[in-house]
Amino acid sequence: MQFAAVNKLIFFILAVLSGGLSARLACRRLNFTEWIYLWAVSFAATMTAAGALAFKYGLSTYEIMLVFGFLSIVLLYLYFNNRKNFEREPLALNPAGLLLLLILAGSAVLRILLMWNTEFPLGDDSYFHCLYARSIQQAGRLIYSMAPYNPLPLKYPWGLHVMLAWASGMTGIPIHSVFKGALIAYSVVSVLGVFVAARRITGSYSAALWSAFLYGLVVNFGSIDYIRWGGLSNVFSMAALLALALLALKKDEGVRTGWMWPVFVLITAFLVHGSAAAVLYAVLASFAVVLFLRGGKGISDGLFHLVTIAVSIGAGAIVAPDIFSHLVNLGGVAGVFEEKYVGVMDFPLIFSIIPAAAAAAGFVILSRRPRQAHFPLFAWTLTLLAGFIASRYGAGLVNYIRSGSAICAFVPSRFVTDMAYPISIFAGAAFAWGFGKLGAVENRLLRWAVAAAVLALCLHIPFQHLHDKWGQTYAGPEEIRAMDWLAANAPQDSLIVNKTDAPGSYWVAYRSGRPTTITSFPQLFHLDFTNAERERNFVQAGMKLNHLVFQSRDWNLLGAALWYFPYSSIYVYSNGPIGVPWAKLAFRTKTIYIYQIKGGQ
Amino acid sequence: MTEMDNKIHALLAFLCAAGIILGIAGDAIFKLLGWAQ
Repeated sequence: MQFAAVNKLIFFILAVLSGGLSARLACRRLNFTEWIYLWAVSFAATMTAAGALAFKYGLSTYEIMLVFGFLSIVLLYLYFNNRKNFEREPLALNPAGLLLLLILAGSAVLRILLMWNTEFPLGDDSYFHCLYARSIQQAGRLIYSMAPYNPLPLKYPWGLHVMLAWASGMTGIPIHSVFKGALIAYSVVSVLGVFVAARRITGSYSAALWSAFLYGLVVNFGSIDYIRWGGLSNVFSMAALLALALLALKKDEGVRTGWMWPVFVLITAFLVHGSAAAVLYAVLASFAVVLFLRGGKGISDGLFHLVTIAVSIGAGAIVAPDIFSHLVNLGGVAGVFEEKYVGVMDFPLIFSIIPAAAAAAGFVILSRRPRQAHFPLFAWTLTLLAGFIASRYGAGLVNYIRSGSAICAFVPSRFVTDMAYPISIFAGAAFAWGFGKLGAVENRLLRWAVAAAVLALCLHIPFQHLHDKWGQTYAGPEEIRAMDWLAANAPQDSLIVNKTDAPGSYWVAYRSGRPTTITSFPQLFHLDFTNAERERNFVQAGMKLNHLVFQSRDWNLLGAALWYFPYSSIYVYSNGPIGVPWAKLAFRTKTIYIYQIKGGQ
Repeated sequence: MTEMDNKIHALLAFLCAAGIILGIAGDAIFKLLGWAQ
């Protein structure tokens, strides 16, 4: 083994140790599945911390290893001081334990298959995240624009991207593969999170298993749908929220919980996505409100949650004042993004009909069966509903009166996405109730027939997803071959005009390492050369137009305009001949034509 | 579960149900007015 490989191995052992042990100490009484879950959340936070130390504070790998080594020793000492509190868990190699393993494995297989045929992760967000991480990796420090790919100032927090860049640098695995792996792994971790939270909330193994089953294999929005758009930052944030809800329940049961771990996880959420963290703060604050209403011990518990939020915002603001300034100005951050309308009546379709209908039934069942541990579930749902109604309808109405457009910039659908978790738990409770009733039916044939029909209805959904996504890819081998040719042959100071309709064009910058005319969402500029007034102004202003999206078919006009751009060479990444005599065909694959329109011999 | 816990539970459930109804009403109004784009 090479020295560098030994280094990496030692680092991972330290990261695993600090993650695992810090999670073990987050709470004095944990059982095995809860520990594994908190450990996984901790590990993501640890990797983010390592990325921040490397790229923000400029620490070398050795210094970071020293930090984690020291942390591991302290945590080991603390661990051996109170290991007797470990809670015994009735989940082992019994049917319930095996079912849980089966559900986790099924969720993993589904997500792996959904991405089986594609080299790059699917989704508009994926190429943005990967290019952002690549820019950080290339610069070796934090960046505030994706230069040289895109000179516009970045508004997206850097937490996820330092993590991707760091993990990729440590392992030598390309950033997009780390992204894919993390998306699959943390989707499965979330299934486990739904299980451990649902078990505490409902107090029932069968309800928890059904919740995990529905979340992992049936619910679309906020679960399987993450694969479609590349919602890794949201996956991390919600995984953290499930962990914090679990700890809130433990605390409510009178178990001692530490304050450092929730703060650590909340700071990570803050760094990963400021506005997703705002959802976490709101849900935790709603827990606090419920506890205050309860009075007595509830007041100190509620204060604990509020103080945790305040400390993590304060610490986050010290680590990343740039993210903090966006957090306090959320409207400004989201102002560039307009999303497709989703209303309450669309919920059954976007979550999938079965879990949505079951969630309605589960809501009635759990409402009629009060239980102290229900409060995180109801408070979480209520907070998201309130956020959704306020941003979708409230802000929509205000915007309509002010500007004639009922669009809300604060992405109301995020509240719907985040609702998938409580919805799965409600639906799981309904399934447990329904199957309990079914078990009491005497006619055996009827029993099996109904159970098989319901399961078939549920399980057609993963197959539907596979059918839709199988073979879907943003860039196939022929496109990647063209991008690799550019990476090897285009001079560093080249611009690549990537046609919007050419397959894989959004990944050209990431793969080739050269600036392209399409960079990344959410900062697209649509310039249309057929109506060249504005474009001429840009060119005359001497602006580097590497953030334009080219829509024109008039290559003569485009070529003439591009000639003045301050790049030594200009290439066109096209899905067909561009029909311009002066453009030189430089390279060709089955699907992609690369022309050189400036520079070279 | 104390009496207070029961009350809080009922309040949360009521507010969630009210939220869904309010949301459906809002959705219906937005769709009728053609704002749902």
